[in-house]
Amino acid sequence: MASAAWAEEARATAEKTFTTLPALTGQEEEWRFTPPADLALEGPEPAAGEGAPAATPQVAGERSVRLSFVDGDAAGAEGAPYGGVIVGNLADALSGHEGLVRERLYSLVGFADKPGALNAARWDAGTFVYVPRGIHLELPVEAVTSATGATGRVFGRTLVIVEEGAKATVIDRYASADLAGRVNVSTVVELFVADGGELEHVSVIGWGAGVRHHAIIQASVGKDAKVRSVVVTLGGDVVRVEPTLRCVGSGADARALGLYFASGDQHFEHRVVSRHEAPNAYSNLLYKGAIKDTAHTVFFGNLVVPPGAPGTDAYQTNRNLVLNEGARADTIPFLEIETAEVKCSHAGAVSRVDDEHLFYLESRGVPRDTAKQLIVEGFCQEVLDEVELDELRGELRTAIERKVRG
Amino acid sequence: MIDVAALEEVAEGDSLRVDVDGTPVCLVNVEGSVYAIHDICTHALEGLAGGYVEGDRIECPRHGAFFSVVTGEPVTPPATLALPTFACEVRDGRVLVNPTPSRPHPLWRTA
Repeated sequence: MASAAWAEEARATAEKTFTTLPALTGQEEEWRFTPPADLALEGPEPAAGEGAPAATPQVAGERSVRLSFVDGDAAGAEGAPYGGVIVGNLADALSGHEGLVRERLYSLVGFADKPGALNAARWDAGTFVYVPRGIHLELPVEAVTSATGATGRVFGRTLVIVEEGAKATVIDRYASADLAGRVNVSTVVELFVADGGELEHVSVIGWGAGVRHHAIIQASVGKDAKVRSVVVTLGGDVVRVEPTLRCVGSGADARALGLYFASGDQHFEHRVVSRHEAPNAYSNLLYKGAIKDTAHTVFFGNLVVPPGAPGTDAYQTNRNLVLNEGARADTIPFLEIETAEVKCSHAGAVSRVDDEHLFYLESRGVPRDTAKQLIVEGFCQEVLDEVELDELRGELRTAIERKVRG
Repeated sequence: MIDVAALEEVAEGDSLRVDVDGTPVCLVNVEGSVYAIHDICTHALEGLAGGYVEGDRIECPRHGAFFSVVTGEPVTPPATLALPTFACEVRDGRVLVNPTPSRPHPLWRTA
């Protein structure tokens, strides 16, 4: 990490916080489903293993800048931004763009709790994106974080700043080969969208076997700004993703879309929150998932409306399709409303593939496996339709097909 | 067998959560005999320790499912899946637990 004194100080404080905070026992309400030890927040320091080649996902589509990170270190950048847009390694921005970074970094995801402190204390490289006022960055910025297994832990950090009336798309992609040992990944994403700005942030979590990932995403959505967080979770042994959208200006429009497919022995937990800290904001959380084999998924969603946010319009939906006996989905759609004059809805459902749908398709000559695949695809379509990038939508459809068949 | 607690820490009709090689285990004292079952309810992953003990059954504090501490079987809904049990004995005032479960826990990941 570049040696900006303030950043070194923050790092030291975070390290101290991490080592002095009381241990998480797994009996805390928010840790009931995914024991903290599974994400190496407690217990022995993960050991380094044998390195495998870094995954270089073949991604189609034009990008304005592509960044890559291997085992937590910067491993290259291609493309050049324009119009005053800055894209680069966050570690270099600590001193290089102190004016932009210092007041924002750690302000959404700080280091008061263990997961935050661990990441703040140990990250070495990350993604920094700055889009100045009124600039529309047409092509997405994409950062690929991969793990080889040569280190027991991998850290990542992303900071995105979209100024007034500016627009951007940022993709954080996580990938690796199947690893022999275990790697624990911790990533934090902070998104700042000023008044009237627009940002689409996409996380594609496609780890191979052996990887456990704790991802924290927080967005601050200004007045009349729009933020869309898309989370696609397909790979990794244990994955816990915590997206929080904070509507801080009136008229903010925040959407969280999620799609997950857990198979084998995978365990995915998504904790999705929208916080209405200003009046007349809109938020919509939609997460859908398919669960197969002996996999287990957990969805916890929360719409938080503190006092002083009248005119809030908020929706939350989680739907799960369980493909066989032994697979399991838990869903907890929560509401915390302290303002009158709001519209809030929440829904959670878990069901298996409808026998009648299967029968209908089979009676039309569609083989059973293909029929199941069609049903899963149809189920995921609602979220896929919302993904704006064509090549990403195509890639996800293929990945889902592979999971249904595999 | 692993030494996990002193017998006096688990009063008759009471329960205690202990850690056995990273697995949360609930000790239950039924009229002087100590039983060990996996602490995590198979319904909503709540910890059982501290739940109401009635005879040789313990009630999950969250949704009220009863489990037999002897067999690990659920006795009442909403739980439907059985918990692993662990062989357990008291020697010289200490509670010893065999870390090998009678069956795998349907939801808990081991290491």
